Amino acid sequence: MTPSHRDPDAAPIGGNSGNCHDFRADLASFVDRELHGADLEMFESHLVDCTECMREVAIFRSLKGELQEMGIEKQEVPGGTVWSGVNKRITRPTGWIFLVIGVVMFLAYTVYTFIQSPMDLFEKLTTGFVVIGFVVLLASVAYDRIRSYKTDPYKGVQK
Amino acid sequence: MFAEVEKELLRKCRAGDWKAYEPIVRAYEGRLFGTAVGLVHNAEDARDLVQDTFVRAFNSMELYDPDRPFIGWILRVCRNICIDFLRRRKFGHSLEEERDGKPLQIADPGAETDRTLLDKETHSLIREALASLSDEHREVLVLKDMQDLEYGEIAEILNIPQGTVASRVYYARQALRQSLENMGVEYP
Repeated sequence: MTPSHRDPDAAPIGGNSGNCHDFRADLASFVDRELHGADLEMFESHLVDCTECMREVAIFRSLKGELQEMGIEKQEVPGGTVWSGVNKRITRPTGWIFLVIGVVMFLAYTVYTFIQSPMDLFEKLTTGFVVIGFVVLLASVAYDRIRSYKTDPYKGVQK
Repeated sequence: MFAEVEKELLRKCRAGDWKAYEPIVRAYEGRLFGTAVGLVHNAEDARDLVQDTFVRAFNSMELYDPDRPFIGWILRVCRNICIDFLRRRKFGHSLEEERDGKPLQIADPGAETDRTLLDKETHSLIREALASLSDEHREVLVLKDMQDLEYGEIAEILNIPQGTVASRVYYARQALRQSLENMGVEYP
C-alpha cells in the first residue's frame, strides 16, 4: 500500500513506543503483502528492532493461515450444485409472462363474445354485475394478502 | 475458466441467454458459498443465499460492467444479500434466544473431511470467534483471508477507500485475536 492509500483515521492500538504506534497502522498491510516501496522498507527496518511488532506479525500470520485453511475454495456446496434451483427461478418469470398474456387474451375474447351475443340488455347487465362484483372481491382479498405478507415482521421466523 | 470464454458467456447472459449462465454458476458457486458461510455461519442458509445471489445477478446483468472482473461484482451482490439476511435474522435470533435462554449453535459446514482432530478443534474455535465479531469485521476477514482478495478488490466490493480496508482488516484481526484469547487460546 502506498502512503496515499493510507486511511487518515487509521490509528491502531498503541505499542510500546511512539514509533511502534506509527508502524502498527501498516501491520495488516505487511502481513497481506500490500505494503510496497518506501513504506515496506521502513516497516521492515522497524520490525528488526521491535520484538512486540514481530510478535504481532507472527500472530496475524498464524490467524491468516488458519482462516485461509478454512477458505472457500476447499468447500463444496452441500447437496450439489445450485444450478437447478437457479435455472428454475430465472426461467419461471417467462412462464408467468406467457400465462398472463394468454389469460388476458382469453378474457378479452370472452368479453367481446359476451357483448356480441344475442342476449337482451337485462341479461347482459345482470351477468356483468355478478362477474364484476366477483372480480372486485377477489382482487381486494388478493391485495390484502399481498400487503400483509410484505409487512409481516414474522415472515422470516421459522414456526 | 478462461477470461475470454467467461466474457463471451457473460455477454450471452446479458442478452438473456440463460443456458450460458450454467457454467458461470458452476464456476463461482463454491467461492460464493464460502463467502456466505463465513458471513452467516449456516450451510443451509448459505446455499439459499448463493442461489438468491445468482438469480439477482442474472436479473440485473445489465448493471455489470464487462470490463471489470465478474468475481468482484458478484461477490458484492452476495455480500449485500448476506447482510440483508443477517439484518432480518437478527430479529428472529433475538426471539429464539429469548425463548430458549441460550445462544444459537453455529453449524460446521465442512464436518466430513480428513482434517485432524486438532485442526477441527482449532477451526471450530476460530469459527466461534469469527461469529462473535461485528458484521463489518467478519466480512473483511472473509473477503481478505478466506477469499484471498486484494485490498483494492475489497474496497470496490464494500465501496470504501483502500486505506479503510487496511485499517479495518487490522482491527478485525485484533478483535478475532481478542475473542480467541477470551476463549482461552494463548499464543507463544
